[in-house]
Order: sequence, then C-alpha cells, then structure tokens
Amino acid sequence: MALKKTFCQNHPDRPAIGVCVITGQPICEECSTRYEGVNYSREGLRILQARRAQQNKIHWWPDRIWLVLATLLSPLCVLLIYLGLLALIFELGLRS
Amino acid sequence: MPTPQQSMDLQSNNDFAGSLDSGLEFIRTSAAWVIPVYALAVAPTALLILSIIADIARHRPSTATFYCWLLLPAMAWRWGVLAVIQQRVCWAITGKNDTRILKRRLFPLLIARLPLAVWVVWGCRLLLVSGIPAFMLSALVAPALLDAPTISWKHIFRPLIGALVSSSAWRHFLTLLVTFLMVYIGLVATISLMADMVIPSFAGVSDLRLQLLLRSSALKMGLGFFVWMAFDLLWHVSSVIVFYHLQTRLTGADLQFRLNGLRRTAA
Repeated sequence: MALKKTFCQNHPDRPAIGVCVITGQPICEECSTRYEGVNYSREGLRILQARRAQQNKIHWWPDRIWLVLATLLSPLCVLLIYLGLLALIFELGLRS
Repeated sequence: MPTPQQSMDLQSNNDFAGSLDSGLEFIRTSAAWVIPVYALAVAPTALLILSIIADIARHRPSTATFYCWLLLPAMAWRWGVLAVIQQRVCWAITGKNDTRILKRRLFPLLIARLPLAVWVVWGCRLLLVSGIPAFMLSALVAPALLDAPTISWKHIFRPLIGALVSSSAWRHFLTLLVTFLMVYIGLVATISLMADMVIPSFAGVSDLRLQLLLRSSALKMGLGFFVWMAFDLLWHVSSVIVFYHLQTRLTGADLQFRLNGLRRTAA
C-alpha cells in the first residue's frame, strides 16, 4: 500500500516535514520553528507563549510574598548568626 | 571477588568521585582565574578569622564582639564572589553566557543563604555534626538559583531537599569532608611530631618558644581554617557539577542511570 504524502497547511504545494505538537497540523520546513528541541508552527508557538504567560501570571505572587517575607526575616537571621558566632568564640576562648 | 555482572554494576553505580574529579579538573584548567578570585572572596573573612583566633589565643575574646559584626558583611561578600565562580562553572557545563542572571539573582541568593548560615553556626555551636547538612546545602543555592527559569522558592527548596535526600550528593560531600579531615589530622600530627621529636633531637634545637608555637591551639585553629578554605573552594565548584548531575538523573538524561533502572526492572 502506498504511503499518503501530507502537505503543509499554509503551502499546499510543499510537502510537510512534521506535525506541530500543539495544533496537530502538518507544516513544511519554512513554517516550522524549533524551540526547546520541539517543532512548532507559528500558531502553535503563539498558543504556547499564551499558556506560559498565563502560568507565570497565576504563580508570580506567592514568590513575591515569599521574597518579601524572607527579606523581612533576614535581620533576625543576621542577629542569630551574630549571637551564634559570639557564643562560639567565647566557648573556644574558655576552652583554649 | 565480584562476578563480571557485579563488577559492571559497581562500576556504573560508582559515582563517588565523578563530580569531585570534574571540579578538580575545572580548578586545574582555570587556576589562573579561579584562585585569585577565590582569594579575593575569602580575604576579608580570613583576616577577621585570623584576628579572632589571635584574640582567643591571647585570652581576649571580648574584642571578638567587634570582629563578629565585621564578619557578617565579610560573609555576604564571600557568598557573592563565590557565586561568580559558580556561575562560571555553570557556563562551562551549559554553554550559556548570560551575565545578567547573577545580577538579578544575587539578592535572593544572599537571602536564601542566611537561614542556612544560621543552621551552620548554631549547628556547630550545639552539636558539631548537625551543621554539616547546612554547609553542604549552602553551596547548592547558587546553581539552583542560576539555573532556575524564574526566581521562585520552589526552584530553590526542591533542589535543596532533593540534594538532602540524595545519596549521590552525600557521597560526594562526605568523601571531600573525610579527605580534608584526614589532611588536617595528618598536618597536625606532623607538626606535633616535629615539635616533640624532630626539632629537638634531629636539629638539636631546644627553643621553647618554637615548641610552644608549634603546640599552640592558635596554630592548629589557623591550620584548620586554611585547610577549610581549600575544601570550601572545591566543594563550591563541585556542587555545581553535583547539581547538574542530579538534574540529569531527574530528567532521565543520565543514560547510565536509566540503563541501571531498566536492568533492575528486568531483573
């Protein structure tokens, strides 16, 4: 049985080299963009970009809150380090 | 004597020295750049630590309160410059060359290392070995942050927790730690031998001051600090390689690890 040749969705006269992993449509070499090792069509890249922007939008604020909290707690950490160093030095001084 | 199959298993699981060897090789090939930059990183800390040791030896620990305040910015300086060295190791592994990332992530890096420093200091104060995991993890903060796509706490905590439970990371760290402990003990034993036997009997010298110096705790503490510096540099460089080694296992890109997994499943 002969294999059916597929053609690019944008260029019907050019054979397709692959299929976009997002849209599932066949694309030729010129319409294909390789990103992170995977082939995408222009539409597929746009959809991927929108999805990632949506994910980043949802998750950015917990990271900002954590950074602010950690920054506010950092003086306490500095004080604890100072007290720990002092205690260590006095203990070494008593032992030597 | 292990069978050929057991030998193959031992060989494929034997990653005791892989990342350390790569770290040593990186330092050897980039010594002209790495060693001066590390000296710059550790110079303020070294001066302060040696001053503190001198005050302890003279039984004047009260002046150490001033040095402790200065030690805090010296530590932050050391972390920042060490991150520059670790960034170069990241570039050597990934082939990327983006200088903007460290500038954006330096502040979160310093913030992330603070609680680990608290753990190191109080761990050493309360029970010496309990500070060791924190020392291991603190070097992994920089590669975790530099490799992360965004400044996210999950991109820091997950790799650190992963490293904490990973036997591979522990093998590398403990191998290095034991090696340097042996070097330190060997040096101290050699100096004690010289002070007690070699210098008086061989050289015919009976200088009490020299013997007191060689037996002093200040010399031993100073020697321990210098040995620690070599360990510190090698671990900070090797930790980047250990980090990427763990990443390849996580993503399944480590072929040897995948083959072992398939062999265990088939068995």
